[in-house]
Amino acid sequence: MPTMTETEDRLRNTLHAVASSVHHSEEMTDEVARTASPAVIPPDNRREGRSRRRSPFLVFAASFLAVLLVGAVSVLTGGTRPGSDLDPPIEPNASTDPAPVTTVPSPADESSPSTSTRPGEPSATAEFWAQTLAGWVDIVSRADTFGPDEPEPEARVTESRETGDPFGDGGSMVATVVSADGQLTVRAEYLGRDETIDEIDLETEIAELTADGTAQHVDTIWHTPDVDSEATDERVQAEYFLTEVKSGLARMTVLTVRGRLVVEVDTTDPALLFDKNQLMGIATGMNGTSLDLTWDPDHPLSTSVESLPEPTADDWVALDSDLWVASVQEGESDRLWVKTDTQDPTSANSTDTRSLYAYAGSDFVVIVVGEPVPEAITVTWDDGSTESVEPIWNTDLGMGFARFDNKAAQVVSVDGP
Amino acid sequence: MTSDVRPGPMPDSLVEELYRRERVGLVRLALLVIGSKAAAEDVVQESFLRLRSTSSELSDPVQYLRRIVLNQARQVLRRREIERRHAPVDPGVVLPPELDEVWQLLDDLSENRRVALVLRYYEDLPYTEIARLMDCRESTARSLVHRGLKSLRRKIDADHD
Repeated sequence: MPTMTETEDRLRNTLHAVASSVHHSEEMTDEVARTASPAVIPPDNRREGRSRRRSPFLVFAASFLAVLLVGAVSVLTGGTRPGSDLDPPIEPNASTDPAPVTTVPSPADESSPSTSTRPGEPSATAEFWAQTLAGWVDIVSRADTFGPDEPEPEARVTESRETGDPFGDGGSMVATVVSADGQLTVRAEYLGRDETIDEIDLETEIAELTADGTAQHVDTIWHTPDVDSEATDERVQAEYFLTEVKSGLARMTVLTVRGRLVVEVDTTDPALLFDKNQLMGIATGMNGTSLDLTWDPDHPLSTSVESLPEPTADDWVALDSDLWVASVQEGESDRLWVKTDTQDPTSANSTDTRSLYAYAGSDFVVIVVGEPVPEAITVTWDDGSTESVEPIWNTDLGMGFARFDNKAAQVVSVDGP
Repeated sequence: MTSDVRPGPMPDSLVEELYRRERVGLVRLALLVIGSKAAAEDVVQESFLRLRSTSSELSDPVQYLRRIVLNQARQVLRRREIERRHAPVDPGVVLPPELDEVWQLLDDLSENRRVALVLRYYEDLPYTEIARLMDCRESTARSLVHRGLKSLRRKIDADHD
């Protein structure tokens, strides 16, 4: 593995090498005469990122004039886009309105052409005006793509729950699901002790699941009647949703894809991939509407590296000849792990449950944590039969266990703990 | 008595001056964040248009412009996040294999880490400045850079296995 310094050097060299591919020859020069050059690529090609033998200045000028035109149209039609006198100045982080059609120019800008060429000033050539109009179409088209300005919907909090420990420091996430105007917003708030964690960390941490390709995931399609079916762009409507399901974590991203709300589920628990009911439960819990859940069984799944800190060899304590338990502190709570000679370590949060289940040899084992000590633990099998066993208690460890013959039948319920 | 006269828009001469001086640098910055030269140019283009509609009383228009570019670039990244999983982005740049490997791996990093690494290792900015541009705390900027670098290091190692 390279050292951090080597990594820094390679990164620095890479960034500078890539940046140097933007040549000064493309920089705007005094060749403003190129304004009327036929070599300029039409905006349609420019949007697709084709070969770029155009003058950047020309495009800027064309776009600029396009803004003047659009602004003028906006004024004539009584439009109230941002940039009108009623609107505050655009802030740099006004990220919800990426449409560039925002300027209503002052009349002075249009009425004072000069002989020098500068952004926003019209050229006398017909070709320039043709470019300008093309640029206008281009910009309007983009504005349409990004959607009109949307009024602030009345938000309704449908659910808020505290879940997970995304950074392994005993902190937790509060996922608040807000339903507004048929769209979902899931806001994640971190409650933890690491003061360096903030919302950017949350986004980063959770987004990494997919960005790194580390999470197994399936796509679920969520139909809601209020979604604008005309929308064609893909927009992340909600941030992230984190919840603990069974032994794994599930994270959800809600986004709009061609007018449908798509709930993406990333999970570290492979079993979830085959548990539609579980997924549906999570998803419907987010806004209370029905869910049409589908996924492509051939969807490529990547491997999961999201893992809890596992016990070290010293942490394991024998509870029986073939049964070991370990308690690993995670923040303010302990996570209990169990392993047997036939089963790899699995865990359960001891603050959530008093019991753990394991398979040891041919036995089904129920482990009970903490007081009070149950007199008996009863297992009900799916053939209707029951079996009760008095747990063997280990006072030092504060836990006990009961072993049952592992029948071919499934365990339906466990009573006693 | 208060005045109701609002500051006017940015003078064309200033926009032009900024455009001449800053454009290439901003395109480079956007390219490193987005990974696509064509998209980077569009982002810078739109950023200048936005700048022009802002108040002429900005104390530091270059800094302001940088933030617009970064925010626009990050939006592009977000919009492309889904597409990225299915189709790798072609940076349109030919690099030596060793550098190309790092460039490809950068594409796998999360948006915030990537932005932080670019600001740190290309722009050579101090953490306070990175935090200001990314609108986060300095400790977060440090964390993003550190984690990003660590992640990149792991990826390089895994790539060689």
